[in-house]
Amino acid sequence: MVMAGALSQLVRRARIAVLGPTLPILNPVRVAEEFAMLDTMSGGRLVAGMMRGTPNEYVTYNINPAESRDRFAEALHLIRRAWTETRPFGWLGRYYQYRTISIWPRPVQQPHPPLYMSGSSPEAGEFAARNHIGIGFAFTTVPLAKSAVQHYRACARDAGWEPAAEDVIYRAMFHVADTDEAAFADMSTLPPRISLVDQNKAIAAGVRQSGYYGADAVAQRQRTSRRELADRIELGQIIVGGPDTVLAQVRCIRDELGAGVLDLVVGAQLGERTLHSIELFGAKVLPRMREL
Amino acid sequence: MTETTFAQRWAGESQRLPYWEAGAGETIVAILDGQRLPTRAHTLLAERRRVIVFAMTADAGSPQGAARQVGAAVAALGIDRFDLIGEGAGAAAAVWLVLAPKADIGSVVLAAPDSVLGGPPDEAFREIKRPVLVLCGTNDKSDAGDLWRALLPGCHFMFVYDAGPAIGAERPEALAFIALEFFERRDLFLVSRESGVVFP
Repeated sequence: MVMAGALSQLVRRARIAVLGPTLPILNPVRVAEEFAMLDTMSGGRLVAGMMRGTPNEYVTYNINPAESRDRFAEALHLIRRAWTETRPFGWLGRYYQYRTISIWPRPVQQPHPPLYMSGSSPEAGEFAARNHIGIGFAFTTVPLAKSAVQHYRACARDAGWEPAAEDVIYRAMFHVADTDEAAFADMSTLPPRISLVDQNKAIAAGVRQSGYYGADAVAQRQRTSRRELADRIELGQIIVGGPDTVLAQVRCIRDELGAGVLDLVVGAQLGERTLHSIELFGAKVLPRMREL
Repeated sequence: MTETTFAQRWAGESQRLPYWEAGAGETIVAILDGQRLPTRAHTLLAERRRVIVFAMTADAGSPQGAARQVGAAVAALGIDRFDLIGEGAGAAAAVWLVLAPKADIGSVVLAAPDSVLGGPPDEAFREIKRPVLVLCGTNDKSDAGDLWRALLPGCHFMFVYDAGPAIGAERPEALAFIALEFFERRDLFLVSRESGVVFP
């Protein structure tokens, strides 16, 4: 939120996407108000992503992960109401209770900024389709995301609407160098990333037992399985190479998923080489992406 | 604990007005439309208060007529003062009952009120001095909530999440909780008294 606020004063034309707050562990009224303020500060350029979060966040904030989907759904409905109601109202929810809500300011975009949520699980895709919300995928694989997008589109058709390409976001790490060999060499110098969940098996077991992963738990856990760099590239989890290779990977993601928005995360913290990667992407990949 | 059960009785001059009663203590009168029976929300209320549930009958003719019937029945039961819930079509009858000269009503909850007022909007509605809380379900597609907020500009308004037009059946704990809170504290219910202490 803070970075988006700073960006809103520096970037004058591009939309600014915050993808996004972990709703079930936050106060939804506060989220609604902060997003509305960002939309105001940016002159109506905010894109609002709402997330369910990751297992470690439920541990840190001491929230029962078994309640995460229901908390998420209620919080999202509440935020929409907070953005669109023109008069003060109270909220008598299952997880949230407020006697009077009247956010300030209201969003510039009417009825509210574009909404996205994670669409990785079948339950999430169904919820997003039913509520006319765009979906995003983070650190998954293209085959898993493809299956989820198909499910989302089918559910949306059942709900009477057809998602556009811009309703699907795919997030991947990226690293660009002058040549494929240089990019692979850069990435091979990185130490393996070990998360809190990797280190503490009790967290993974406890979250799994809570039903957090939903009906398609096996696929959900496949998303975060450890893989070699070559496999991660092959599965579209990470985009690595020289400019031509990276462009080909981007094209593959677009063609496979029909995703209209690519959300890129810096794949390696390598100082000057990372800055060079960003510059190369801007100079030699991004202009050609417009032609895809 | 034995569950509170409602006993059905009959009121009115010809004993044709059905009502249900349970609980003890200060009285809550609920007015439902004729198709409904007491819900779990009324049962929960009856664990704390005396609850009398009236179902509007067709022979009342209008919400005003239903208000007169209920007012007469309440008086016949010897009840001087009570809090009031109007649900569905019973909401308009409840508001007309508030306007009755003899009514000594504490505060009023309108749960999923219908938009049928039983006549043109009465200016008197806007003059109601008693605290009124209007509850509308988030799944209720009618525009009755907006209508009642316009008719009762001083009312409190709350959405009941994941409920449609039958809040008492769909979210009974929520309805009972907020009704009791409102009846007890009236306008001050806006300010929480819930403790945030985790371990004293």
